[in-house]
Amino acid sequence: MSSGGTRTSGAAPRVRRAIGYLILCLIALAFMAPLIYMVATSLKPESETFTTPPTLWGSALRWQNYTDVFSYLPFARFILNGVLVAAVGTAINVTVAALSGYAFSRLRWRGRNVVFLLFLATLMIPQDVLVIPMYVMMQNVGWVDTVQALIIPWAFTALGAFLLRQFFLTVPQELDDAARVDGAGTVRTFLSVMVPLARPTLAVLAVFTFISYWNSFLWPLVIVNDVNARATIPLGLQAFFGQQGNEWSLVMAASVISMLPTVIILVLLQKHLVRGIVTSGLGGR
Amino acid sequence: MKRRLLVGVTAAAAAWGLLVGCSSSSSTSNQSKDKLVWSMWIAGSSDKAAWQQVAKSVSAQGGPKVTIQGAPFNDYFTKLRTQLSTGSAPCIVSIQSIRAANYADVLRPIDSYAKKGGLDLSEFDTTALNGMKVDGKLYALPYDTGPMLLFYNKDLFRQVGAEEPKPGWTLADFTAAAAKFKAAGKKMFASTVTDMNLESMILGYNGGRVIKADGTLDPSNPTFAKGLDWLSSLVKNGTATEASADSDAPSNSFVSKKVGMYLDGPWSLLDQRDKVKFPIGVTTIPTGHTSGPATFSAGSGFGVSRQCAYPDQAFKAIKTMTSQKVLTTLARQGRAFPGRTAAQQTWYENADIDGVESVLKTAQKASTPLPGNKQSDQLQQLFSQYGIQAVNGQQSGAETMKSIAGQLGQ
Amino acid sequence: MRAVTTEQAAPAAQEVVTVEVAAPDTAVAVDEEPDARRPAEVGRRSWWGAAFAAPHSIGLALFTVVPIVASLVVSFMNWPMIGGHTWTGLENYRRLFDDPVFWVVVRNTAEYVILYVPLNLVVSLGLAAWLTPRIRHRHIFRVLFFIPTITPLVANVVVWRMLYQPDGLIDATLQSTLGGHAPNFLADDTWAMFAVVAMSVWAGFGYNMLIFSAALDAVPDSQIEAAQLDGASAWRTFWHVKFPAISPSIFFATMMTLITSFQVFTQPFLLTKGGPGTETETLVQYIYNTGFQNQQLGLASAGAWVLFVIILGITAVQFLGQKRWVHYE
Repeated sequence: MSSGGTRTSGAAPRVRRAIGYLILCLIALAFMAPLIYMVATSLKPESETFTTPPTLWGSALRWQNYTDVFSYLPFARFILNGVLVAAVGTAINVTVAALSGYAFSRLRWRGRNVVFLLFLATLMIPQDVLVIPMYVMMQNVGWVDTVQALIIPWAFTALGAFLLRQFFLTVPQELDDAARVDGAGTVRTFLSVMVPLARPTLAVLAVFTFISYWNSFLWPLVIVNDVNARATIPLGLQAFFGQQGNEWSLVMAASVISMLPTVIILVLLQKHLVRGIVTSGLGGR
Repeated sequence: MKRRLLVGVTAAAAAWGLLVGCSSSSSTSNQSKDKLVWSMWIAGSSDKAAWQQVAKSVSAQGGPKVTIQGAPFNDYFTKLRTQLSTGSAPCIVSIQSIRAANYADVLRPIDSYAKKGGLDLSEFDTTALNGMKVDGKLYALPYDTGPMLLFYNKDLFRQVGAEEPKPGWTLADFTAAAAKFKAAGKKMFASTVTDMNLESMILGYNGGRVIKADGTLDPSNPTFAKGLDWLSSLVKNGTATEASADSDAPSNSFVSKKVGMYLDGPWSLLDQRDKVKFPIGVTTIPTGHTSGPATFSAGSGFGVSRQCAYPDQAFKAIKTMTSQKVLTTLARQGRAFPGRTAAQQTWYENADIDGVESVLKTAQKASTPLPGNKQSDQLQQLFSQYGIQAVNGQQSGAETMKSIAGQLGQ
Repeated sequence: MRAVTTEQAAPAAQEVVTVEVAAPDTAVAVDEEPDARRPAEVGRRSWWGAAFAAPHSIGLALFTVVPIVASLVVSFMNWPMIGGHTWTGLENYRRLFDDPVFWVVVRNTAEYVILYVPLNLVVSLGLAAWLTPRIRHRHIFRVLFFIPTITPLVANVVVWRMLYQPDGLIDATLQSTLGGHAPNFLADDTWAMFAVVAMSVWAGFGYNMLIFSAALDAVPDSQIEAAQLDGASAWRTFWHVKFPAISPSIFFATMMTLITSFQVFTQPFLLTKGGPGTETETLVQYIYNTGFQNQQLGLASAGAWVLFVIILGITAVQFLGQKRWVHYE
């Protein structure tokens, strides 16, 4: 059922719909082809990665490629780095965003509007433009090639504050009042009433922050010197293109591994993610 | 809620501690007299194991404990300068001969240390040692060396009925073999745009060079531009594959039997021998309209960074790392062709490839070290960008070199 | 907060409004400010508000405001990666504008944007319109199309490099079916940019598709049915009912896609290294090369500021133009 079709009286709509569906499936298949090819290649012996005519599957399924990845380069280290950098960065971002989002929505204080406008203005600054000055800054504080340099500079992006503010504005004032009647102060109200309410929004923010850390490439490329010790996944993947010729099957296996976490998150949380994207514009590319 | 928050904070703190703790193990900031860091490019686990052994040999000889800080080759030189300029520079630095000039300002000349330490430099391969000199000063001890060679697929040559290339073969032989390949519907040669490969092939063809013997750049050299045109004629007449944006494409095509031969150095020979599913042969670069050297040689070695606070210890370490014993061990394991003459025999024996010794000796005789230049890093990048257009015939050699010269002038 | 909701507000603030309109499915229960009703609380909460906002504000100031201002300063200085720095005034900008390669990369970036943005929007809007709730298993399709968008771009590039290579999947398929060779995509003047764009669209459209899809779901059925009763074709219904209804979403998506596409780096950097020649070298790669390979941080900062100004300018133009086609409820 294409939106471009016109209503014709004679054709059986069911047949047309079936054909439309078939075309859609073919499009999806073509779209998935690179990913399918990636998985297939990751299971080939290295000598069969380039063949004419092309084959989808090699002469044998070489699962060993997946274990070889871990000995060929410190890939376990890359994963660990990636997870830790993303987890710590996400924790910081979600925490500060929850606090500031609350402050921008439900607390009144001098300068609030000005500060909020400044927050919004920073959203206009492209990350890539910041890379050079950020590097100079890291040089000055001696953070080049450190873990904290991978995490801290991007842990304070303003998007979360905006997202949380938007959410907190929807919480009925009665809940504050009730907490206040119970004798709760601002901090208690925030922790025991607001944070639990905001959990779905916090989760969406957390997932997107995690993913953007996980996928980040330019900054690690710039700031990491000791690749084998401090690289995250994308940088590590790029590192597979070594001096001795590409090990394509291993690179593909590594790519598959690097994609797994985010694909799993996507499949499990797709409803929430869609909502997060739609309400906030998070995760854009 | 509070408890969960506490758990969360604790977990974050633990993660942080783990992260900082683990990764500081190879940090360069805590080098000391008996603990030095060695920065090295590493390709894969067997590579790493071999270098780990080299590092161990230093402390086994009573030297400092050497920790490897590894990076993949592609990133190594992008990062090296930045690293060497900070206070936490690794003391021991691996360097390629063609890049020595590029990094002379951040490395320490080691002639005086060699004299003081009683190191007999004549035991090193002369070409290898000269490659590590910049303006007459020595900046590194070579661990490997070698002229650029052609690796070929013996099966394919037999299949198409071409004569196997002998060391010292000529352009006419090359063309004859290419004709056989073409008749069989095959391509003989995998085009390349890597700086050293390109320059070696052209040097053999007509002696054209873009870096003069004294190390100055000569990008507008007309002979070199003609050499580029020749390479592009090979693509056009079906002798060679089209050059690819991927620097590893030649090796890939060779391994997958798409081409009969490609350019590489002895440092890759044994890796390739194990990878391919056919008997591998080696030969020299064909000589054409030149009577001079027919190929470039290059190697790698270990130097001491200028920032290093413990140069004596660092020199002692690199002395051990390039000692007869260590290089022989490396040769036995089939690593790169040793930079010490006496260790080379072990490598030949281990290589176990027909005629490899005579090929290498012929090639060495016909080779000249590719001199480094302050802009050689940039030149390499420009070749990988612009060389493609020249080799694939989208631009003439002269036009390409003009673009490159324009960028180098910046 | 009034300033934020007016049309004349700062571009960034406007984005927020767009999002709010673009997302009618987020139930907005209480839109007025809570404090407006409780003036008594003002004094008491004053300190807490600043305290709550402090960590984020300080972090943002340190890691966004300071760097962006600092980079403006650095762009007026000769600032090599190693060694001292000196004030050079406009010298960096002069060098930039005198460098023919700089103009080439600006042109390349523009080419990329001009190809990528419309393609991305057409593909994502087309698929979003196709994937109506009547399509069976539409959520599976949505997830499939979204996969490359949230997986590491480096991993996606790696596969495409293998597809594009001579003897790679595309070339090998052509050889064994038609007998001819495919173009040497990544090494060919005419093809390289298209190859980069195609890969980027594949990897990037999923995000806009989701936005459009959700916006289309929110168009009231009554409006669509009314149009259909009038005898409008599906095509007409789309352009006259659905499109205006989702125009704020389209505006928002166009903006974000424009901004991010000006910063394209990873795809050309890893697919072609900017080659052949400088055919696919983009502004961000130029900045990267200048800063981290040629180690001229001052010059690179100047380049970054040029990029920033271009992006600001494009955004401003977008905002001026939006009134003509974006319909807010």
